[in-house]
Amino acid sequence: MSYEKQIKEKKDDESFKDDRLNIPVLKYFWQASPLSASQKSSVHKFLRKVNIFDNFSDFELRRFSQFLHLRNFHHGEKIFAQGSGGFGFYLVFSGNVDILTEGKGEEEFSEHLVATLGPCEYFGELSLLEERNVRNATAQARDGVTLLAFFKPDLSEMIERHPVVAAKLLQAVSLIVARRFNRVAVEIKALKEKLKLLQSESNEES
Amino acid sequence: MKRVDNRFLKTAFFIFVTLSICSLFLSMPRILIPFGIAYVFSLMLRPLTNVFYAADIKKKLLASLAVIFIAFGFIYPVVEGVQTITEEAHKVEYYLPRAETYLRQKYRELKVQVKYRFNYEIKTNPVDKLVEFGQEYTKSLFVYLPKLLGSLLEWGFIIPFFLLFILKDGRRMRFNFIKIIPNHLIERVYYLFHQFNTKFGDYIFAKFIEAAIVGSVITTGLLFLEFPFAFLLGLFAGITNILPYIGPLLGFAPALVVGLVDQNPALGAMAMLYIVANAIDLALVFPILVSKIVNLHPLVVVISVILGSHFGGIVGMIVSIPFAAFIKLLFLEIYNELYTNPSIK
Repeated sequence: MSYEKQIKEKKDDESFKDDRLNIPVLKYFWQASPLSASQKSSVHKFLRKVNIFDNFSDFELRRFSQFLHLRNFHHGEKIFAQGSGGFGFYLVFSGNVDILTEGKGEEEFSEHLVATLGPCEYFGELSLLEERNVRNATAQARDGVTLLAFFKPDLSEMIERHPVVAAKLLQAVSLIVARRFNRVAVEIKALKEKLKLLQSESNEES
Repeated sequence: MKRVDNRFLKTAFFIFVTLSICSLFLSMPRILIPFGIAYVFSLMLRPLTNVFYAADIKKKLLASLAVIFIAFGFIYPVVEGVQTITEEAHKVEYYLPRAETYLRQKYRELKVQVKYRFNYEIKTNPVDKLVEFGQEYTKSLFVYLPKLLGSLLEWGFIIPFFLLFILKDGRRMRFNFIKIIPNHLIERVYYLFHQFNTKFGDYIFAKFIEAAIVGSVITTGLLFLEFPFAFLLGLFAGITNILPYIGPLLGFAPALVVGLVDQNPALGAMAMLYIVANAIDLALVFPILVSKIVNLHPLVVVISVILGSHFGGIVGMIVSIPFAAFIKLLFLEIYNELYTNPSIK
């Protein structure tokens, strides 16, 4: 009996359906297996946890992840220095990053720790928006750090190839800038009130 | 100490790999030239590839379409054009003695006129030198031209092959190369690499389009005027147009000689045609395509072209301007880093 005949006969048989390999199910288990997932393929899952990418669909996150560079930094290594030109936006994939500001003290330069960023946090976003960005703080790796870097040339390429994803990314970056701007505005307001209070106190004393 | 060594090793390895790739390509011009052309084609196809990427069309299909585009848009005109241009090039060899006789006669007349009007005898004879120079360069050009067109046919098979892989795997190769850039250099190197890529590619593409427009206008016009060597003169005008400032004059010179030797009645119309073609270039093509890409002082342009011709011949002349633009960018980056960076004291 020919193979085609066998298949034709089996096709009518209900039990044949149970014998068949269920490719979609196999594919699901293969993709769900922790052993089969590489670090790169897990990037978009990581991005899902980052709050600024809430309005991205899974497909868009996959697209965005194709433009990211995984970079490893050892303990104490500078990611960028204050005052240097900036061309990259970074997401902390694992480890911690110290944000330091350098100021001139009485005799020598001193560094002040401003913040420590952990996984799912980000920094350097202004470099994507400004034509000539100058870093206003130093970023330094604490322990071993893995970062996801997105550089200005990648943004240019993404605008040309995937404009919708690029627009969403710029929207997300604008959101970060807006949040920071609001925070700074509140701080300035509080400082002005403090200044007023100090001035009135000094006037009363005099 | 170990970290410093690690950083030093990574930097040394990156420089070694970069220099190795560059020297490998430079030592093999038979690969470098078709690869460079394939790269320029990939840039020319960029608007199309972006549309395809945006529509999520598979890379393989895109690459196959590109190969078809090259086959019809590049190989077919070359195959068709080779015969006509080679025939014209052979005719020129017979035409040269006539041009020589004409120049000698005109010079003799000039000498007589000067003697008659100013009572001064010209003793020098620049015509001999000019003819010798002209013969030498024209022969080498017309011997080189069919060879160049012949190698174009060879490239016709290699270029689509390279293009296929640039379109299909170029991005992955670039990402892999970026992986070896040390952390402290990544931002600047990647940015400069991108700038160089963009400036170089855009400039070559713009000049290619500019040369094609000027060459086509002149060839069509000369054919219409029934002027001899229409294809050859059009091709020559297109190629010389790549050179700034002196290019249009160089392109016009052989047409003028042909017109004068033949006492061609269409000489005036031919001169007008060259003026119109260059006016179209200067007024429309150059401002739209080229000027935005390279923002250099005219003196820098001339010096870079001279240096380019000294070190790299015709190819050196073509690539010298985007290269100078990149050097300017690199200089500005280093200047900004050293003189406007508050953290470096």
